[in-house]
Amino acid sequence: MKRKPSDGISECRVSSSCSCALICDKLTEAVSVYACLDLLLGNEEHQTAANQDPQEGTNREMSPVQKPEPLSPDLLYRNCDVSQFEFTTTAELPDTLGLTGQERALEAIEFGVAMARTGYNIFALGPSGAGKREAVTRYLEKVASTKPAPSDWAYVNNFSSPNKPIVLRMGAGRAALLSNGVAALIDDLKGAIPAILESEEYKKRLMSIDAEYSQHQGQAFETLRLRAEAKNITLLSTPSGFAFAPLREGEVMKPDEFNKLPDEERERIKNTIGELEQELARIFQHVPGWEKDRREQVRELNREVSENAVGRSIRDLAALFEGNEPVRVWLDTLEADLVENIGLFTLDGEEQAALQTQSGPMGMGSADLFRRYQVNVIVDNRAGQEREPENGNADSDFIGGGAPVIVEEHPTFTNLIGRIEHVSQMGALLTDFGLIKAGALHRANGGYLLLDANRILREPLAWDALKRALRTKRIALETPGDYLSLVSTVSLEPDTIPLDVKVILFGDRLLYYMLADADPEFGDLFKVAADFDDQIDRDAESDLLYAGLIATICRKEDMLHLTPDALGRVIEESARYAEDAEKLTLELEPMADLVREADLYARQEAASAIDARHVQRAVDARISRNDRLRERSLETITREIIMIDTEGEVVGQVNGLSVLSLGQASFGRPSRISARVRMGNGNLVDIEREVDLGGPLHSKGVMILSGFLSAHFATSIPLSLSASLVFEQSYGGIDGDSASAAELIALLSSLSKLPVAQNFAITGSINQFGQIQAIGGVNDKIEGFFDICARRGLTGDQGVLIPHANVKHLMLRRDVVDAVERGVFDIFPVETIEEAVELMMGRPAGLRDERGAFPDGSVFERVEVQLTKFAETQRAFSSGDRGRRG
Amino acid sequence: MSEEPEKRNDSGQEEPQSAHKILVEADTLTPEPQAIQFAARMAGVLHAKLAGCFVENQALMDLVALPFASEVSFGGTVKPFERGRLEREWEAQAKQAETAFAAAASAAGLAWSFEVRRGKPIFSMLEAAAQEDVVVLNPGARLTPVGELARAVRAATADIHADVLLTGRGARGSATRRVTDTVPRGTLVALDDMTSRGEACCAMAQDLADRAGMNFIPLRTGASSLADVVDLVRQLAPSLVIVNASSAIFSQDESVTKLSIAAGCPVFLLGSERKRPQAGSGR
Repeated sequence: MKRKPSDGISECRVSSSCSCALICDKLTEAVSVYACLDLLLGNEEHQTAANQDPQEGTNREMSPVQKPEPLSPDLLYRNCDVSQFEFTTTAELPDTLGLTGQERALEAIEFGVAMARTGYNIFALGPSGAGKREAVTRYLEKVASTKPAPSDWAYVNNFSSPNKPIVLRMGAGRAALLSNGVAALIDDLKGAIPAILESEEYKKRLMSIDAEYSQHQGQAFETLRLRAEAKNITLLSTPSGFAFAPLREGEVMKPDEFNKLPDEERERIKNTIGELEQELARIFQHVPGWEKDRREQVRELNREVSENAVGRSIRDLAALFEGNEPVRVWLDTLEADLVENIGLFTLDGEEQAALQTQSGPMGMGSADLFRRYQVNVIVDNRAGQEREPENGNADSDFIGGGAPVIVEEHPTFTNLIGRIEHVSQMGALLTDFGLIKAGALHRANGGYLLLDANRILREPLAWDALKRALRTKRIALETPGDYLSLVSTVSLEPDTIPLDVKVILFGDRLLYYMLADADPEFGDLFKVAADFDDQIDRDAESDLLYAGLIATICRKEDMLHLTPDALGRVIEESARYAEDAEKLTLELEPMADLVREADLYARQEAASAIDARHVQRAVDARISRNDRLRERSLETITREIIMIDTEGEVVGQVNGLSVLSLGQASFGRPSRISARVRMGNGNLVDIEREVDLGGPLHSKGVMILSGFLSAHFATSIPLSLSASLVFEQSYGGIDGDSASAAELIALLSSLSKLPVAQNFAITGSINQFGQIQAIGGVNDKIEGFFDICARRGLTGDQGVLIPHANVKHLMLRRDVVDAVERGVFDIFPVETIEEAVELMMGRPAGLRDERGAFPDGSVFERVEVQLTKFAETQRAFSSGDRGRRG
Repeated sequence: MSEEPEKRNDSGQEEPQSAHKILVEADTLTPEPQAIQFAARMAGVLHAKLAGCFVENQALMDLVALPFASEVSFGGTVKPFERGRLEREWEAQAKQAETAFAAAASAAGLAWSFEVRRGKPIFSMLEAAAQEDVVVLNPGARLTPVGELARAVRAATADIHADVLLTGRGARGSATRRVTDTVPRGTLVALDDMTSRGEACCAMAQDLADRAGMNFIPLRTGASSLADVVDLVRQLAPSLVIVNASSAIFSQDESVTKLSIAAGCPVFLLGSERKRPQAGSGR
């Protein structure tokens, strides 16, 4: 079972032969962060040491040391009392909501949802599988259904500036009304307008305008032509204009005829033609004005004749939106545009196609020139409206009743703030207001938007876009290119939409604290942290709660139900997952997985219910599936490739314990820790740190040893010690301080030259007063040493020393518990280094007497003697040196 | 100028043989593709060949030889009128007209021909016309004097016994389209002046309406004045009007133009003494 670092005290030790070294580094780093965070959060086990009264430490030294007794088997594994379950199978239990134990998080959610001020968005943090989303959606479903549905939104054409589409806000369900109303209006006009334009009255008036224009133009030309003819000159049309030519007998004069004329006559003709040309040029200069007048008259006529048809329908529509000024204003512009473009309604297919090709974006799509009049409804909050996934994302779902509750499973930039689509037309990408698509923010506007924090952070630009929308309280539709200012071509600039949404992010604690630390805006925008607990106290009440939860899952997923024994095993696994015999995990997903897997085995046996055997088989199978690395690790030790002694005594050598976590596999294994000492300047050399294999927590542990030694021994003389500490055959990174007790034993052994029993392994962190503090992964660590001993054959005197504070965390494997019951393996809880020394070195550590001296022959007495010798030698060296220099 | 050999449509299929043709002047002022397309469709209905004629106005060639020849452009600019430029512009316009012709004929699946003539506009084209041909004239396409248009119509109908189809002026877009649509719609009005030519006119119109799938309305005008006829026609809002070219209502030069404007659609002036069509001769 995958185990997450907990309690802030853990270590990760990886062999360099592991191909996942990089992953392990990350894990190590994560462990460190967790440790820091737990310290910040006030982990009581750490604070026990930090807040220790120095005086209390002194008193402790004066009290006699009791040799610790091994733990009784009943403390190694807390069985679930199945006698409390008064049911045959969980099928008899009612459904239970999985929110017990999360009161603090629920209160935070209620507060965040109720608080309508800026920035009170919610970050639901906690381990995955803790039911965060379920809790939030269940609460929001309840709240949202009591709220009014928010406004509809639609984009419409801006007839004066098509690249700046207009957004219209309407009451819930009204956008469809407008869209359908306008569509019906256009359909009506498609029939009505041609009929009007074919009417006798219209034709007469149009002809009258044309006639007037023609008359105006024709009269001017005709008058000029007649004047010219009166002077025997004719007006001819040329390929690019007109020309005047002299006539002779009704025909244009030939050049030779013209040349025969007297000079005066030729000059007169030339001048006359020149005057006529000037006059014709003036007429031409008036033509555009006449044409403009004609167009204006036609436009006025169209307006007049279409006003009835268009105006009446639009007035009916506008009446439905009385009080909505933007809609009224747009309907006015629609009316004006319809009147202006009344000709669209008389075009045949060929002309429409030709116009479409010319008209660009407005002409694309479904061969519909009238799309310029469409209403692009992007948010439709009609009651009971089931939303189609608008971005091709089938996971997007509409949950809410009144106010929308939108879950965006794929929060890309465009899925979030919407997008402007383009179509390719003759090699160019074109767009218009009809190609604006809503994003999750649009759909959630006026309601709630649920996002996975990790996913949104992985999507380029999405996080920034979300923050900007929340900060400005507006949704500005942009393409990613525009957003990055990469594209300088003209594109759409739709109106922005005011945003009123409550965003609920889901993520783990690490992500939350990293965001809080690294993103200055995060705290302002997500002011509410709904911190989901990952554990609850284990008692009869929580056992029953668990029973209800498991029953609910079985029912929901159509699984076989569990017998009380099976449920007991699930609860025990829950405690083991929580690494605490007195707690149950609230990460329900791993427990649900266990039930699912047990369900499979039960069905394979055609059982009617899941019993304890099926659960155990699921547990064993899961371990087996992930067991290759553990097996390989054990093998390297049993084949003595990795040297670990489990018998005999050695000076300066201790069996420490570590946990290796890779993927779903997590297991403990012993590590040989050795120490060498000599006279020196009081330096403890942490070889792991020297070669950058040790993390900061490990280094800290080693430095604490220095503090312990200098304060505990020969306090009146300088600490003249040089010592080196090393994890033998460690080729990967190491962090955590859980080996510091083992390191201290190795040091004390090396200083006292007294051997350490190799049939023991020890885990625990030490403080400067010699107290042994709790660590993480205690079960894995014990099992890791047990496995080695068991492979080699249990000798009967082997065991593990653990911090006393970890006893409550014990949920050991059945075979370990059995070995303890048989008396062939022991687990000793130790509170002080003295207890550990006595157990591992076979003689008392020694307490100072009234004179302040350690008893003769005690370990500490020998250590102090050795340190004194080092100091004297050091002093002698220093004196000799001064003498030589003097 | 010699007449160009007949050209086949693009598919190379044999066209139904026809004794007469529809003759369209590719105007030097405006190419008027709509008129060409309309002529092409009309040719399809009448089983006629399509013949295009581009006339280079000889008067302009005479003018450019004069020392002071100048031209006023449509923009109102006076500039020297040169022979080289005139010939280049004629060549370009003729090419453009022929291309439009080819496209229209191909679309209608018609055989077609195109020729370039030099002479007097309209009258030069009429030289290529024969009895029962249809000469397409667009009164609005040039500054043709009313009298000259009337003379051209008379020359075509009375002298050559050809028919004249007047497009342009009142024959605006939508009405023009109706007669050419394949979907039966629109109204064909025939004016019967109660003469034998009038009777022949109605028979021909009936046949044409059947072929084109149009409603047919014979209108007995008798001795009605042009003003009365124009009022009646306007009320019927026809898609095509067919009238006997020798009718008394065309006694004045401006009558043709007036009817064309008032009808708001093309006017077919029957100049030939067409035989009553045989049963089953339609498509």
